[in-house]
Amino acid sequence: MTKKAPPPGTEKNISFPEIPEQQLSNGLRILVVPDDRLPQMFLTLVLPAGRVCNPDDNLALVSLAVEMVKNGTHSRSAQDISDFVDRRAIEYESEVLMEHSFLSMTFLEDQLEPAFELLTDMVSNANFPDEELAKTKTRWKSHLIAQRSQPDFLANECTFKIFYPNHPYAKVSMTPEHLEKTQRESVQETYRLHYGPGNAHLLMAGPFDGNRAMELGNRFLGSWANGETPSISYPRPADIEGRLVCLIHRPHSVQSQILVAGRTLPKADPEAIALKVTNQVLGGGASARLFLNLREQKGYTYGAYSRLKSYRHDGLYMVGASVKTEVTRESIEEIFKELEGLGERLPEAKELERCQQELIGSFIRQMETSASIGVLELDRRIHELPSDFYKNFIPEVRGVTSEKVVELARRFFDPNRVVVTVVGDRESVEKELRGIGELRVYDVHGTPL
Amino acid sequence: MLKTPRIEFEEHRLQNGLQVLLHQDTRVPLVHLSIHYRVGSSYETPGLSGFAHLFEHMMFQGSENVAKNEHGGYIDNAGGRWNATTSKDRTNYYETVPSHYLELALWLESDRMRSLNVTEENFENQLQTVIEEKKQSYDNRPYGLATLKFEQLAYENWSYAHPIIGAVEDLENSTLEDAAKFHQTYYGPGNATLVLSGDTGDDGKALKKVEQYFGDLSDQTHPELPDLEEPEQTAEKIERMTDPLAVLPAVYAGYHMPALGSPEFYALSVLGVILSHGESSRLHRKLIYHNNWVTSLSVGPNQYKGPELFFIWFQVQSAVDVDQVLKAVDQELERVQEEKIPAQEIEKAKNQIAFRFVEQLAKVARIGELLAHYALFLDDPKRINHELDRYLAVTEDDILQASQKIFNSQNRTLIFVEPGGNGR
Repeated sequence: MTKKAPPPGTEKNISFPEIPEQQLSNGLRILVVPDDRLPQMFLTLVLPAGRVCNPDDNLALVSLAVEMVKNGTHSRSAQDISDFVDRRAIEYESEVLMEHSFLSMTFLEDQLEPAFELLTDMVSNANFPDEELAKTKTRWKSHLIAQRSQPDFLANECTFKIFYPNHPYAKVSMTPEHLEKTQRESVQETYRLHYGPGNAHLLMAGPFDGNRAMELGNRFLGSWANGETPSISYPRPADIEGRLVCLIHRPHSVQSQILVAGRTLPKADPEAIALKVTNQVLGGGASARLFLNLREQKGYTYGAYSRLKSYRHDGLYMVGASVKTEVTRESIEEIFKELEGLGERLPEAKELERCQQELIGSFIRQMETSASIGVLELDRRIHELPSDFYKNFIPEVRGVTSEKVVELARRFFDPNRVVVTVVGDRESVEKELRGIGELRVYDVHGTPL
Repeated sequence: MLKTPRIEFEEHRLQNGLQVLLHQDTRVPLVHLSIHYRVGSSYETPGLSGFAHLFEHMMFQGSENVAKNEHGGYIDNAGGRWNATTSKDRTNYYETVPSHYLELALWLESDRMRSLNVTEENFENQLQTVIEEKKQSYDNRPYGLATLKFEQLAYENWSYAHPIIGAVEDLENSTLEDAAKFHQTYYGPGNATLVLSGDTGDDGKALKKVEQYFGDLSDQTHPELPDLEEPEQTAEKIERMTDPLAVLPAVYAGYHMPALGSPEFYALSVLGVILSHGESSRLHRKLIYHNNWVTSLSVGPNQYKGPELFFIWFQVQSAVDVDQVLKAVDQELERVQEEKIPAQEIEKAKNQIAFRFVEQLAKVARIGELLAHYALFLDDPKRINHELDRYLAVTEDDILQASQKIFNSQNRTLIFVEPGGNGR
């Protein structure tokens, strides 16, 4: 039995496939990732419309528009649609993100044409029945009430509002009042404006080939008419100078949810990969600095991590941890120490190599299925990343130096230019937060106290 | 007729008793190694609850050549993922790594199988961690205590009744000798199944590598299979509790049913899908779509190896009468005992089961875990290529008979959870 860890074998190359794009006459772009290993198929429609498209006074419209697509068309009721998908084992999901919306279907290959026909009917003939809208509003209201008790949601919402005042990126969450006032016509109009084939992408993954994909695309979605796609203006986000501390008072909390955030880079920035590596050093997993400090050494929390949120026009890093209330102040100070240290202490060779390998390992796992390969390619296209982005991904990750990590840390991970959000019981926590920076106190609805 | 791909694999057994399952799939340079030990919380004895889960923690505390908590670091350095889980019936340790790190994974698992540091310090340290975990994961989570309480009430046989996390007093009263004895009884090659799935190497030497790392381990295990027999329940069991962390009421209902792999298991699995899977399912339509009485529901067999429960859980919307919802559920259960399920609904459920089965074959890690599951729970890993057929063969009469067998009130356990404190 060897006493030392065996060295790795020869690393195998992994190559990202060429995924050509074809376009229908109405602008819809079709991507195909062929894979005949399983009789499983994926259709994913991505549209360049997300929460940012909501008007300022109603943040429910876009989400309702996408949700309602499955709740009735001119030829099918909501029950017809759910009967249809369940009977044919078509798994349908939709998601509205900040700048994009995704509508996906997964099914077995013998359901290809029925699935395509249904998707076409839903996206081009949705009729937004009043009764279904009412039911959806009622269900969502319960969910919104429950959301106001979730610490990570509250912290996230507050952070975005501080960084993006009067900016589309602050359109994080709808209110019950938004739901209440929404009428069918405004949902329908929102859909008509923003959801059409122009600038949309359709991914097909599974046992397809390019010719069949175009034939299906033309036959089913070729007549889908375009909307107007109004443009959205993006004002300059807030400059954060100094430390701002926001306490969200959540009575009876037994833990404090901490979120420390700072501004970084947009998604397509040439330094985005180097930024990922830098963030990985700080808080990318259970071997990263934040975790080792706050959990392993101090025992303050079960886990502390840092995540990047990157969009077309801007980005943030967000350090998160749920800690025992009595160590709220100490936890924040340790987070600051790690941010400081990131800009002062060069990562050791082994540390850097681990972080790089973690990102590479994650990339390899995403290459395992045609659907996840397709999603990677969609992401590249909708954010206009370079055409050789994935071909170069592994060498670029490996090419990030310790010096580059420190350089980016000093530029972006500065503990003196942060927003600290704490969700906890004011009675226990407020006094602990004094002296860190400007302190603001809110209730769970975001109303200043 | 659906044609699912046949999963090819090799089955071996080393001289020391280790069962080895090898599945080669070179779609990406990734390999999944998983070790399943045939011990879960149902193997514990009264007074020593929580040991199976405690050992899940102990297994990361170091062995002869691997320092405390170093296991995860090795896998992180390789860019892999790792975890461990304890259930009622088995404990499982796995890592998924880029395939050129295969030998690292084998080395790590064999070192802790061979030479785990069962020391006073590690034992005490992890006892405290587990006690703290119970507080954080169950005591501080909505419905956490209700979930534990439900099985304690439903099962008479202590093996399945007691919680995996264990009782704090048992943990606090346990000794290092207890731990050492548990370890020797259950943790060894003769009581384990090793699965390797994915890019196991182009050289055809996967088995040789497993032998290299595990072949010289000696087996000291002498596992005793737990007696899982559950006496017939003859009267309904009901309890009501208040949960200050819950914001909405919830109901747990369970009906005793035969074990995994029995004819009733397949029939009731299909029924679970008919009742609750998808928005057109019977309970979703009635409880959510038409009436908006519940926020979510979960229905079906609990998937234990031994005697199972057909489980129904739902969370009730604010200001809705819980009894009214339960009555509606009862009406659906009466209906399935009186009327055969129409062919179209059965076909729908089978399509959904087939879909989910195919989905499991999409990733090498999932294939590996499926192979291990069939090996441990049904004593036959070859079931991976036949198991779906058993679901697809279920008939309307099978469902009717299984329903009539179990859906009566004396066979039922009910827990009502009311929100308290911050609730409605």
